[in-house]
Amino acid sequence: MKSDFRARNHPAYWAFIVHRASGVLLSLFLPLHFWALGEALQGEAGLDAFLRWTEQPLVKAGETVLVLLLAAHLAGGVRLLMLEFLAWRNWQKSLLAAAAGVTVAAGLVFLLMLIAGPAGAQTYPAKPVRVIVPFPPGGAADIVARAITQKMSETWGIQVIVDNRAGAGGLIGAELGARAAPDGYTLLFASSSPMTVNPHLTARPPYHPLRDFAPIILIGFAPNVLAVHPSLPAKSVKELIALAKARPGELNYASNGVGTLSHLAAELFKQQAGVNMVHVPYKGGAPAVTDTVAGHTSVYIAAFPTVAGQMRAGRLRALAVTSTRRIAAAPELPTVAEAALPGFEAMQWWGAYGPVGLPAELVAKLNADLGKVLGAAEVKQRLAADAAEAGGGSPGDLAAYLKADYERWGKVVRASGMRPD
Amino acid sequence: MKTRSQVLLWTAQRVSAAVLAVCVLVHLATVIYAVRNGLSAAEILGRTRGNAGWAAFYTVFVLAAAVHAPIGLRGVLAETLDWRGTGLEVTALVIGLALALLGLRAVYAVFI
Repeated sequence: MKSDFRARNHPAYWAFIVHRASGVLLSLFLPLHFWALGEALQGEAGLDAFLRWTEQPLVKAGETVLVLLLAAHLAGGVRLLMLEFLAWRNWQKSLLAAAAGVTVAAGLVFLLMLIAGPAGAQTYPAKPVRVIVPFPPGGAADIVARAITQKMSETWGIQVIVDNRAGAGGLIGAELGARAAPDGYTLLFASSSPMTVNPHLTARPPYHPLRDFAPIILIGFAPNVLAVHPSLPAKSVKELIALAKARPGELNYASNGVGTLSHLAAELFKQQAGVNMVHVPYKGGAPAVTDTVAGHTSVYIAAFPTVAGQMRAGRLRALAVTSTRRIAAAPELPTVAEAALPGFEAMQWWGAYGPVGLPAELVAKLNADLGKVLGAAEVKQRLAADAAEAGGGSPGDLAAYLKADYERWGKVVRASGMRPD
Repeated sequence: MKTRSQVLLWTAQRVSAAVLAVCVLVHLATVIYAVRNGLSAAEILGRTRGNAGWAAFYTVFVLAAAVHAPIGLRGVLAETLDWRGTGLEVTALVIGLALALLGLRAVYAVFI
């Protein structure tokens, strides 16, 4: 039973050496691997940190070496087992055993290639990129996304397609973005609503904004506008508050959906003004603005790009902006804070995200390319036409901004007494 | 070491190797599935925690590794360092126990 693989003239001598050497290295690695897993997997946050750690180039290289070691060890082992158990000694059978070992090794390397699957930054993008916008066409998020994706298509020479997936205040589209394959071919351009507001109003949000996404870049921000139907006898914020107080529960207001910033800004307005208005949620900015223009709803707080066209056409009456200072696109409009409610602020902003697990090199490339697109004069002009300002910065900047805004709106929701449904 | 013990180690080494070969392939296929589908940390733990089948699979995986690795290392140490006797057996046993404990701790963290 004793093998003579150690003899240099044995046909399996080198298979034996490779098998032993890879075995020793794997034995050194195994306890480290088990220890790291045991340490990291002490809850979701630990696993998140572990998964992010495995995205480091050095760790990825280590994984590659590990799988190659496994392949070598398994190939050598298969060959030795065949030679031992089948007593294959002649050179034809020895060759067959070697072929079996190499086949097993090739299978493992193929699996390794599958693991390494997501395209590298050098070849990205090699096919059309889908950008999920979790609101219907025509709303602010859609307008901003289309301005940017058009320029991205020109820059890359690859089609960048906007995919509007509306519903549930942006939760549906944002969840799709979180669950997408982390290969850079599905991105999410989301407003602050589904990332920092709506999750606080959902008992079981289908994703965690701070854990399930790889922030890429802050796309931009814009003030919201407090607008009313022209038939409403209120020409200022103070008059609107007086009217709402005189007719409690009779005025209604449109929003882009339950839990959107449009909704929360109106709730904040109600709280600070001490008025009662009935909430009418829509599936995004476009249907909300359409019904407010038609007079089905009286009041609407929305991002400037959503209502700018109707304001200019006189079909909506803007009373104020929700930023802390007046905006260049409509300098005649006061801020809500200066008009009636000191300290009032509700800014709309948009960010670009990939699903968690998006390789760090792709995040870096997307951040750099989107940064250039946001810096382009025509994109800045396009956004400025709707009072939006282009963003920028690093993925870390967006992550920090997202976290701060998420916590801020969490406090507003808790203070308002709204309960997650 | 007695011939009988050597035969036992030889058999354990080959049987654990066969088990490990299957376990490695299943493990890699599972990792590929998770990576390709972009599963989040919460989703991975949601699927593993409380799953007795997967817990049993990885327990077998860990125990097979804890048998296979120390026997292999024992052979390498004996041949390259010409090391024999109780010291070698104890070292192999400690390596095996350490691997089993660390591995089972990782299984506990993922599945329980």
